[in-house]
Formats: sequence, C-alpha cells, structure tokens
Amino acid sequence: MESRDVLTFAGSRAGFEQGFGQLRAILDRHPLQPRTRYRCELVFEEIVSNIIRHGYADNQEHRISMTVAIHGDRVELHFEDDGVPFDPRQPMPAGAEAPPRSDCGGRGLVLLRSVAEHIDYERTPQRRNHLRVTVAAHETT
Amino acid sequence: MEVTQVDDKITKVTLNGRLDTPGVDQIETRLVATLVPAGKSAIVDFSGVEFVASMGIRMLISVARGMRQRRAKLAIYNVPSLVQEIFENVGLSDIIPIGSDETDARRLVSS
Repeated sequence: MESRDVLTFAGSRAGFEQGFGQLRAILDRHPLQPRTRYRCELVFEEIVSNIIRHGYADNQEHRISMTVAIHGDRVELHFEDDGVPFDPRQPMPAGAEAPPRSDCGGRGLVLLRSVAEHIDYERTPQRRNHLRVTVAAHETT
Repeated sequence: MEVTQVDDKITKVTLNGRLDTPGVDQIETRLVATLVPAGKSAIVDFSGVEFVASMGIRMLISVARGMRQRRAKLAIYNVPSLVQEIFENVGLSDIIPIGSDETDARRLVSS
C-alpha cells in the first residue's frame, strides 16, 4: 500500500508532541515492520528536536512541515523548516564520530545516519531547509 | 520508573516506555537524584523500554559519569533487540556495560 500524508506543526516543544502524535497515527495505518517503524520515529525525534533546540535564532513562531510517503520498500520522510541552515550530511566535528567516547555531541546525527538509507538536503533561496530521509521498509538483518 | 534496593550495595531501577525527548524530561531529574548522590552501584532493567533516542542515551551517560565520580557503577540489562541495535550504533557498551539479565548486570557492577 502506498500513501502520502502531509502534516504541519509548530516549531516548539508542544508542536513536537503534536507532530509526533500525527506521525504515529499515520504509521498506525500501515503494517510496517517494527524495525522500520522504530527508525521512522527515531528520524522524527532526532530531526525535529534538533530543529527546535538549535534551528531558530529568534523568538518568533515557526512552523515545520513534514511529508510521509510510504512505498512498498521504503518510507520517505521530508522535513521543511525555516530555521538556520543545517546539512546533516556534512562531516561532524572531530571526535563526534565516536560520541560516547568523547561525549561532545553529535549522537543524534550518528543515530540518524545509522538508520537512514539515504539523506538528501537542500537550502532554498527562500531560506528554507528541505531534508529528505529514506528509511528502508524491509528487515535488514 | 520503579526503584528497589537489591541489597546494601546495589540499587535496581526499572524503566518503562520511551526514552525520547518527552520521556527523558519526565524521569531525568528523579533518575539522577536517585542514583548519583547515593554513591551506590545500580542496575537498570530495560525490558519495558520500547524506544530510545539520543536524548535517552545522553541521560544514561550523564548518570553513569556522575556515579563513576563517586566510585559507583551502572549497568543495564534485558535490553529489547531494537533498542540494543541503537546502543550498538553509538557504541554505548564502551561506557555502560550491558548485561544479558539481572544476574549478569549484578556481576558487572560488582566486579
């Protein structure tokens, strides 16, 4: 079964919980493998919490848009926000590749990369971030 | 979160639910207050934990380091397979020993 859903929520802690509730409702409609489901929720957690914690340089209200496209063999998660530019494909600071050893941050980035099959990022001239993360929808082990 | 005393040297904590941003917000203060100042080693039962994200891992490492400064040890056990994959992805066992069951975890903090 293929589907495509769009959700929007505030770039705030309350928005995080609202958006996560919407995501879970979407995922509930599909018979995803537990590992795929876990990875989708993890991608949401790491990306949205990062945007809310580090993405805004002002106290204005912001919105985050997310598209969830479920295909037979993959789930595509597309995040759009107006925060500061952040490309998770870029190399992490020295030491962050082994975060527990250095505890210098970047652990969420390590997790994101470990569960994503593909990550694509674009910063538009309109100063919006478009981050697309693909999660495999099959058992990998 | 449930806390019991295994004996006079080891505290047992049972966690349930999700260690994501909201979940960590709910328990971190109490977990730190329970384990760090006491200076006693502890084991944490993860059998009821269905989801862990980076915030949960940060909390565990923070607690383990606070305990280590007081010469106490922390071990976790009964980790569900999907959560175990996440721990392996970040090499958590390099900092916090992971036991297969309670007996194993007690051995890890007693050694």
